Amino acid sequence: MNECVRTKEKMAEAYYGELGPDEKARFEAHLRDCPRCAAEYAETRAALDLMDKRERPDPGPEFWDGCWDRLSRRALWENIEEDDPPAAERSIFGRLGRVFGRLPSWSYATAGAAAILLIGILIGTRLVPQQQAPMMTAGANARATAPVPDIAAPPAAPAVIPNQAPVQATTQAPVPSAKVPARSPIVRAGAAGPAVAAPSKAVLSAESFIDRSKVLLLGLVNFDPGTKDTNTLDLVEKKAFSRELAAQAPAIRRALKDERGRSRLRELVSDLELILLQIANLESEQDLEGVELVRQGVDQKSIFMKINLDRMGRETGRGTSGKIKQPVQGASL
Amino acid sequence: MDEKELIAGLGRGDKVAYEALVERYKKKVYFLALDVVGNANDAEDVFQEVFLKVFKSFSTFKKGSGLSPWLYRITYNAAIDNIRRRGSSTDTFDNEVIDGWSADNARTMSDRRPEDPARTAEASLLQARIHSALQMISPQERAVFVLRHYEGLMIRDIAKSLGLSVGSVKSYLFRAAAKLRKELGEPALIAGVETGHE
Repeated sequence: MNECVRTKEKMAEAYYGELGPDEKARFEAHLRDCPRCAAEYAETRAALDLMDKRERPDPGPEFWDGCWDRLSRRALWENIEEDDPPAAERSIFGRLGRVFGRLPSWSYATAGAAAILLIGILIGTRLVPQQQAPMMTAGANARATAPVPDIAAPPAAPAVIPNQAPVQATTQAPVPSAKVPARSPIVRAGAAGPAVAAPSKAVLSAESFIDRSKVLLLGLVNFDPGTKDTNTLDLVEKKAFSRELAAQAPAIRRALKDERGRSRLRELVSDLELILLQIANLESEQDLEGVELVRQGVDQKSIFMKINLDRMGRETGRGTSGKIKQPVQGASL
Repeated sequence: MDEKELIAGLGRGDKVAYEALVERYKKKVYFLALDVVGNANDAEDVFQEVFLKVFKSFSTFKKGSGLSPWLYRITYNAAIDNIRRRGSSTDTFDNEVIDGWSADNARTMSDRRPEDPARTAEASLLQARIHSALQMISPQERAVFVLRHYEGLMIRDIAKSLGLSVGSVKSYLFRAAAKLRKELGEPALIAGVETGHE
């Protein structure tokens, strides 16, 4: 019996080939003599073999690619929250906080390429959906553009476009793309153009955050120490405001995580958060070297270009006045 | 950059070396953290704590020892601390992991075999069973098991990495294997396994 207990305790080691020669011989000899232990070992082996089939969920490329940025942000946060960090730690965080200031020269080219790509994406997202609409399945198409009860015409009076069939239920057949106009074949009653959903609370918060950050950054990057008195910079106030804004960023990012198609907006909030943390972490009221590093970071990350692209996106989506286009109830086509 | 150069760079506080360290070990650290704490949110928290600790206290690294065991130990300790802070080892071993698998990995498998939804469902069920079985073992046992089974570390290296005795590691491994056998020991599941290794 004792030999059975001993053998059971050695099963995992035997499976992984970690028994010494003597132990292995003893283990195998017992298995030959004891059918119960042999059966239990077979079950153990099968269970452990089954664990080979395990697939660990990968958090995805966005997670892996953003590791360093998130670590930098957290390092900066912890530095801010520490009342009196040791000098050695401060220097390490200082180094981390100057991530942007040390970007290699190729990052300029990358930033330029990214900006062009962003413009392309922006244009694409505004034009392509209208042209691709007929490629959607009929059900999906109808669902995507189904009238919202409080602003659409009554269901009894479906909208009719000349030369097109009235909007049907989700069983409507797909229309060959060559025979349809660029506009979506399904149009809401009374809608003058494609309907634009009102931005969510998360998006509005992000936009407000971006606008306030922009004002702060403009004040900082436009400061010229050669011609202006450093007191006019008012770094104390800017640091406090940066800290206040940066504190809002994590919640905004989390809220945007649940929003589809808002990855670029989330990325911009992340970039701004890092810049704001850098400002909040400036070492003194006259830290012009730090201000210069912030300025470089803003340039290298193309922050203002991204902000302007975001602004363009907002205006394109809501009309040039910046207001949301709402379908006019009862308007004729 | 080989490990010697990496260690030298870390000692100098070189940012490039820190980035290289994160790049090289991020997956090992994250997956060990995920396996011990059991959910993605806490795993990321542990992941960041580990690297911040490395940034702050690289001076405590003993030259001559490997980076990998040092990182495993920091990860293990941070993960166990995380669980202690939460006050429970299994409550937050939530379904996020298996939900994530179902949503993403099952889709990938479906892409591989679009003609066979039954197999995809079967695979999903198997992953759920494996996930469930892992919940039955303690975080310490899970850490030892994962390092032995998936990372291929020898028992003595696990002991060195986690700061445990060889006897403790053997004990954790034995208990983990016994619990997994109990949880996964149904004939239908076992029958699906065709190969094993000694």
